[in-house]
Amino acid sequence: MGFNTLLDILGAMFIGGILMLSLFQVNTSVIINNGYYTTDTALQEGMLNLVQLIQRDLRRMGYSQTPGFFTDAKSAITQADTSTFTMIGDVDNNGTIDTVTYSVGATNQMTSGSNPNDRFLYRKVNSGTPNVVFLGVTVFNFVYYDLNGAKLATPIPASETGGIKSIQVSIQAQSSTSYRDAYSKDSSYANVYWRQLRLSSKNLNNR
Amino acid sequence: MFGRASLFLVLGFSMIFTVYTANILFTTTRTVDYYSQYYTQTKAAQVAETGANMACNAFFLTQSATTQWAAGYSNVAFDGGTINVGVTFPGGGIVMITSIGSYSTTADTIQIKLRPSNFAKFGNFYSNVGNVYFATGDTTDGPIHFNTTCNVTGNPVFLGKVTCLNGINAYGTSNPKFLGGFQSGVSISLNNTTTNLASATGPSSGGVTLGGSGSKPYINVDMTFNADGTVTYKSQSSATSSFGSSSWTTPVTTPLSTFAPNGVILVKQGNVTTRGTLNGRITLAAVANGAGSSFGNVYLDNNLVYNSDPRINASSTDMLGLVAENNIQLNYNNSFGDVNVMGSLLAQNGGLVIQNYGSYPTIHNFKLLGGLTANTLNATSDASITHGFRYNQKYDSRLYDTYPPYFPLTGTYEVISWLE
Repeated sequence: MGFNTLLDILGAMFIGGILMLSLFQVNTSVIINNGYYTTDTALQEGMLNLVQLIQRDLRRMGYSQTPGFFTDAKSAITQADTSTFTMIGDVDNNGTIDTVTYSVGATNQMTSGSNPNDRFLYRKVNSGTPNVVFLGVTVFNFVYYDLNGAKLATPIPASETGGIKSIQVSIQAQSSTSYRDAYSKDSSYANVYWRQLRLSSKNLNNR
Repeated sequence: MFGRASLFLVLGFSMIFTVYTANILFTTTRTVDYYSQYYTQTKAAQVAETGANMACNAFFLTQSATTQWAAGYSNVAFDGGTINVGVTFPGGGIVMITSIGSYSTTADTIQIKLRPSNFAKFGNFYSNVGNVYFATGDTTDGPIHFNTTCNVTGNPVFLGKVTCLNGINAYGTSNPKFLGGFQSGVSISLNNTTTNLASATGPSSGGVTLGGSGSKPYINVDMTFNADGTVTYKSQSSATSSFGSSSWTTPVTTPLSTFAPNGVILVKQGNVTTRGTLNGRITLAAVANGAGSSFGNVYLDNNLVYNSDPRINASSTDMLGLVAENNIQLNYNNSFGDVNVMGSLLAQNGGLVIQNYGSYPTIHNFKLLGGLTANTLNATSDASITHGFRYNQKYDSRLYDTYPPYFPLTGTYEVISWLE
């Protein structure tokens, strides 16, 4: 083997090494993207189920199979704050009036993962234990509007919740683990966002 | 050697990329599926809601007709979806509208219940409010309706739901508090409100009609409700609107349950003066029956309260309706202090009248537990609020769902539940 042959082998190893590095990097990127998209899809699936639950609950506030149970809007909303909301209605249409509360936990409750802002979303029905209905909520926000479309200051006193004409609900959820921060400066968490601009229960206008 | 290793390397990476790419494509497809699912569900819900609104509108347009709309809709195309609506009458005056909206492979159902609306549900109802404005310090209790605008100035508080025909008429800076909600565009006629009562006093109806006869067609009734569930009444009749020295009949005391089994006492072509403590459920009405505004009036000359106060005893069944074709009047009595009245009051062509309110030496309270439905909103004291009565009304929350017997209906239907 002469010098030229050795040079060829070294050159081939160098080029092969670069090619290998590129492949590893592509592989890593594919794995990250795969994880990101999988998490993103899982978040979207969870958000879809959550949104259907919240929409059903809120549209049934003030609903009762028994006429006259709800006298007006304020008897159907007992707590209206920025991220806590308690409503009354027969949400499962079984003839029994339910009290449903949505609230979020503290950011330090989710110990796994690196996301500092994610938290549990709770749904409590009647006197039962609050159930976690979503993991990784970063924004859970209610904005309340009166009949003129003006924002109402929160928290709204229980005696004044009858002034609520419509509700804006915003939910953002993120993955607990970062997927892109090693390679880019953009959002490092899988992210999904939903907002209902003016949600109103028809039952609040009854009678 | 390197050639074979390179081949394995390429094949290995190709396999990895194939698996991951397939997964990414799969998740992308699922993402589109979720979006599509949410979209179709939302569209189906909107189509169903459209069908429900169309059906409610069609029903409301015929709600006062002899034959109400019940045709429903069958496979009506709307916005890429299909509307199917059914109307049923399950009894008790209830109307049920079921709207099914279909879009793509998804369907959504909305079920609405309606029932005839009753004037007794109102804490306050005025066909005409003139230039009266609800101002800072005013608080109304229970549902309130105006067949005009809702006149406000300053910061009045409406505890119950407010409905009106022509929206809010604000004088100056105003920030009214509608704590029970607000709805404009609602028109409710106060005409012909005694129809319901006439049918309740017909043959075999269980109600009682007190009226004149022959050459003395006009009647004046004096009625005292007793706490033991009886009523004591007497009457005088006349050929004219002036009863003068017409003789009174001998007072009769009888149990309400046998006097008016269905709870309706109708004074026809006459007036009734009443007071006492009611133990039972009664609607006492006075109609002019075409005899003019001198008749069809209910006069109060003392307290008229329930034997069992529903604010103390939530299971109290005592309930009173006072219906006048013209006015409900508190007769002047200089010795009055506060006056307590419990019941639903309806004055079809007039209002609540405080006789000679300016002649009272001081200001008292007219305390009403229940509601007042009237054509006009009248003054109850002088402008300085030093003579006469303050109108002090508290809503009897039982009236949201329970009414005095045969109390007049509004002639319209109301939505009592909306399930989606």
